[in-house]
Amino acid sequence: MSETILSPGSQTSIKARFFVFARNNLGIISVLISLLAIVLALLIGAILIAIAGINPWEAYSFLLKGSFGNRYGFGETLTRFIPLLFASLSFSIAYKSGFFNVGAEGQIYIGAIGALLVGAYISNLPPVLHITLTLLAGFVFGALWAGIAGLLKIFLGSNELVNTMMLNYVAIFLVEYLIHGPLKDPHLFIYQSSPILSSARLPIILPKTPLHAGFLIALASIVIVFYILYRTPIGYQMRTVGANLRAAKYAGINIVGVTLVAIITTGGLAGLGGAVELMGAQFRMVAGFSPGYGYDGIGVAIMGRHNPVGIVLAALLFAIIRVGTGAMQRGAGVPFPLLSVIQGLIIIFVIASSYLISKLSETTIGGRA
Amino acid sequence: MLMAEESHITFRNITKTFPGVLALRNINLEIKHGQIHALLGENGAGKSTLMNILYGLYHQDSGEIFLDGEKYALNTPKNATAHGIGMIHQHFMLIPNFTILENIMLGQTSPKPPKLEKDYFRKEILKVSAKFGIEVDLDLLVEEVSVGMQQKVEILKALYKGAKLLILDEPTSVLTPQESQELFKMLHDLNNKGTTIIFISHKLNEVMQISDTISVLRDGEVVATLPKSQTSQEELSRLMVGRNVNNKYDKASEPIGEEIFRIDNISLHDPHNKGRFLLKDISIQISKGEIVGIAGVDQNGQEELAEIICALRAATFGNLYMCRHDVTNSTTRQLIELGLSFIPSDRRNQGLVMDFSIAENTILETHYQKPFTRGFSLQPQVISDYAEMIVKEYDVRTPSINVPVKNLSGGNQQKVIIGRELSRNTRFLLVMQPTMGLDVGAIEFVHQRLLKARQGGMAILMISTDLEEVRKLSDRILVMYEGKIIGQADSTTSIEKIGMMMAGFFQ
Repeated sequence: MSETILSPGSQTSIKARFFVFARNNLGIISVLISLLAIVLALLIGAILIAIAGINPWEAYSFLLKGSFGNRYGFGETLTRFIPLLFASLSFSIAYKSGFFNVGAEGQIYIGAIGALLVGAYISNLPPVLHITLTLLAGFVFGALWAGIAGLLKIFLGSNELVNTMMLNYVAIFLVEYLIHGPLKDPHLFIYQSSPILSSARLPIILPKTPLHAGFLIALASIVIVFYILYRTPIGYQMRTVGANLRAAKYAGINIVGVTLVAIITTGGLAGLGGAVELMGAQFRMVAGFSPGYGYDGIGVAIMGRHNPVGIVLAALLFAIIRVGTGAMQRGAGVPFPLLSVIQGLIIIFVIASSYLISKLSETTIGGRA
Repeated sequence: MLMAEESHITFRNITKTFPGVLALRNINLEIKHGQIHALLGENGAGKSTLMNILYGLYHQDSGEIFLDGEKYALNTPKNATAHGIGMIHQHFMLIPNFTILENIMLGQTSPKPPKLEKDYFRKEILKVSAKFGIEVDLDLLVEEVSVGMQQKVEILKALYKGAKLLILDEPTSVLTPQESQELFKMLHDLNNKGTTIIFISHKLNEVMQISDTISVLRDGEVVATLPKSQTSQEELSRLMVGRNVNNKYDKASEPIGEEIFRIDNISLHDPHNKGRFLLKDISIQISKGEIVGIAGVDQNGQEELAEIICALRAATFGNLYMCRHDVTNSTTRQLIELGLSFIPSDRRNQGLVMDFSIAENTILETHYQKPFTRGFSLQPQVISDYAEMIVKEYDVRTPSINVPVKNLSGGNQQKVIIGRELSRNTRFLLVMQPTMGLDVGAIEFVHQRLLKARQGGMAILMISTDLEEVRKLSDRILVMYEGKIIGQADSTTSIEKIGMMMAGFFQ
């Protein structure tokens, strides 16, 4: 149709031409804008690094080398990617169902505790069974933790955003208590839990790197989550409830049942993320077990616009930033607070650019005909 | 031509597409100074789109706009205001908990920043208000005043900003008939003082009453521009829909069949005031092959009754029967499975999921049933075929079934709902306000479909505030007033008599 509109002879302003071009190439332009946002954030970061008296070029070369310049760094980046992916899936599936779960952080901790109980204290199981049960425990514990906020919403109508957020603190301090008391490893002087047994550990899938089989579970999860959302009746109902609660009621959809499913899956996915992190990377519960994966997951989901490809790309970006800035600190001596500033800049720029993109698609595509 | 009137706005070859929809095709239109120029057309004909382009909310893909003969290239809302173009949207852009004064001065630069200088603005606004004879009390909160008054505020706001051209988008759709007449008087006054007015409407009588020149749009094209003196309602109606509209229906009288749905002594307490009833002793029986119409002024319990029938709300007393089964305590889904269909009054919030595609919206109630779901999975191909069938059968104008329904015009959205609700195994159909906000062509289409469903043996309960509609379609008419059925009538009863009952007078 656009050919007839832009016939060669027609008088068309540059602006209008741009809009038509932008509309036809929205995908490419979105990617370009996002990349430009990252470059801009890095440029501002470079100025700050230079002010701190460090050669920005050298610092950034550590960022690249550290995150995917060598085999180990590459493996580490993908290992970081795993919990981020679980956390963002957890946020997205709830968001699509009209449930704002910002409690993935707490659910990760509690899911990991569930996995620890099964992984460290049940012995003499064959690895396949032990791993399965440990993963399951992580899912169930995460789901139960989210269920507290979920039941408060369903039966008392209280706001899940506040409750899931508050439960994060409860979970983190509960875990601290457990590793100082009942779950402390009696053989150690420092406060850590006992390690999970080797039969419950996930195998390394890329030798000489930390990358473990949780990566495959994460990739399978993203496929399953989006299959459920877009190809099953329950997923259709979840999306309907999230998009228009009244229409869902009028259509006879069981709101309470659907919301319960959403709560179980959102909490379960975060808990599964915690379990996988424990079983593949850390093996023991420690204070600060998750360096904010649950919160980063929200950013990943929003940046990835709740679609599978976007989430994978955004989770990769977050992982690269986290691993790469670590390398900048070790290699170039960039101070830690400055790293946080650069991480923050990248996230702010990319999320701001996503608003720019949606604004662009609104003006070029427009609303009602 | 006695004298050459000067052109205020000229559109030249304006074309605009939305994804897959050609909204405007080569529009050429001239609006002359000091005229009331009506844009008449069905929903989705492109009237609002054209005006939104002029006001700068959208941009044309190609074509040019000329203002007072000069090229007007940079169409943005800010620039429009600077060039004396004001637009009154269908939904007002006012802040409810600000006073009228605060709303009008919003966005204006204070003469002495950072002070607000309310008194300065008050004086300035009163000057404008006196000049145009628009009386408003500047100190009332917007949420306290009537819709008609809010519209006055919008108009005053535009005039205060220096508007010489006012665009009004379906201004009467929110007004009572009296308020509409006041509006027309005001528009005439403004016009006499030199303001050019563009009046967007799909109501023929209004357009004939108010305008000097009428342009008819159809499917994104200007099909005619006529001076009012040289046209008639009949001609306009034909131009608008492209054919003659039928105003009377042949209703084959069918023998009324067995009882399908019975509402038995339903009452409902007011949840905020236990002594009061929202519904009181409502009993209605609807049989196979008949349309029972409920007439009444809005807010007399119709919404509550519909919600009780659909199990979205529980009655305080009384029972519901469907095909002689007690369904008082059934869930909405159980009722739907028994053969209930519901066309709600608010299609955007109750009937459709606006962000979903047409295809997804066609399976809202049935998605979990065969053949749409097999095993654990939805069947995209089956769903697409089904949606294609509905789109074809119910004449939904859309480039594809994958378009989000929010991109369809109101009439086409309603067709999606009607197609969905009538394509099931329906025995009992509850319809509320089926043609609200639709244009002539779509209204007739909806009516014909309802009559066809009746012919097919469906039992239909229609709740509408449009008395004409109720009279045209119903076999029996019940009048609802303050939660009670206060009278019975049929299509032979005079409008005046039913109107009296609707206002609460009855013998």
